[in-house]
Amino acid sequence: MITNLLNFTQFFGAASAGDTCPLSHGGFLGFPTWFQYLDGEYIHSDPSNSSSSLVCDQVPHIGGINDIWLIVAAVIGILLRIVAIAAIGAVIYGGISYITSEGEPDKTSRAKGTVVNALVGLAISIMAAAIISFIAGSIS
Amino acid sequence: MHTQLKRIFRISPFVLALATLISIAAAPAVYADNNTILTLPNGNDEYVKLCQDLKKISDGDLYQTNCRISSTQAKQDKAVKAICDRGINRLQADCDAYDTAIAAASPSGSYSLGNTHGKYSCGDPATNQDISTAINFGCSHQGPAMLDLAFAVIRFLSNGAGLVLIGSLVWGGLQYTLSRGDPQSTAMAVNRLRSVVFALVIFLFAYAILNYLIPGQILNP
Repeated sequence: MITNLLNFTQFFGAASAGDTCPLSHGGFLGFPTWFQYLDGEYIHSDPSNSSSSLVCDQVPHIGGINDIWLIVAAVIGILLRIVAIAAIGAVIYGGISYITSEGEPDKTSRAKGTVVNALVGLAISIMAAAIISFIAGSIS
Repeated sequence: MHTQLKRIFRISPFVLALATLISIAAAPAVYADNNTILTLPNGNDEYVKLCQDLKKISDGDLYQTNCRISSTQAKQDKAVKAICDRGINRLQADCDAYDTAIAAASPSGSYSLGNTHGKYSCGDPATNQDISTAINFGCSHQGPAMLDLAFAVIRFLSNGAGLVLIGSLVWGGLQYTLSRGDPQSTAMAVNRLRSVVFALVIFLFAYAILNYLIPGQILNP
């Protein structure tokens, strides 16, 4: 719906066939799509009639080899969400094994380790993007 | 240190395979330009005969209505000269352009007849020695064509290095998260994180050295 609105405003902003247009992102369970950073192209709704209205073709266009990295970035975004879900799962698992450890020191320390490792892993993953983009940004 | 080196040796075949794949993908796109195609009107005996003659001079062949001439620049020039000597009207404009190109005294007399293949090009178009490619390598259209292409590929790879490192760090974080307090799998995750840092250091040094050795900001056009 929002994408349709965007198309509408861009249409009045003198778009022509071959211009880039935003793709509608049909995410799944809140996951972003692999093509979220790629653009579509405006095409004529009637290909044989060059004065017909323009519509977004909704096909991800790969303009050059550097666009491969846009796909990689989108996949990393998906991976980050998987890490977050895995961390939540691991914290719940650690909590349950802490509850059912019945005060045995061995099991208790293992459960604590599970929770701590889950949170450390989550922190590493979230900070990864910040660290690397800081370093890469200071190079170029 | 020793394990890191071993890991690098282990992944080097994959890097080599990737480099080979890239060069295989790029090669036809790069060299496609060297075959000039003359489109012949159907059933025109004069052109067919011309093409057969050209075949003797250069590596041309007659394929349906397309006359492919020449594979190298020198042979291509020879073929153009042969066409111009015959004074065929259809090619008069090309012959004139060829004469001006020769008169402009460019040492290798580079000139291409008719169509080029790819949509994109590498190298300075003003020198008439740019190569057309089917894939958009993101060339900067400066300097010699092959150097431009090589730097475009280096730029492509160095753009990706940071992203691949982020991906590897995130994967290491996932391994850490799922290690469930098991020391062995935690050690595996830590190992991965350590090699990411190692790779980052190597990449930074390589980048710095390249930037120092090659004059003129080639990595940031």
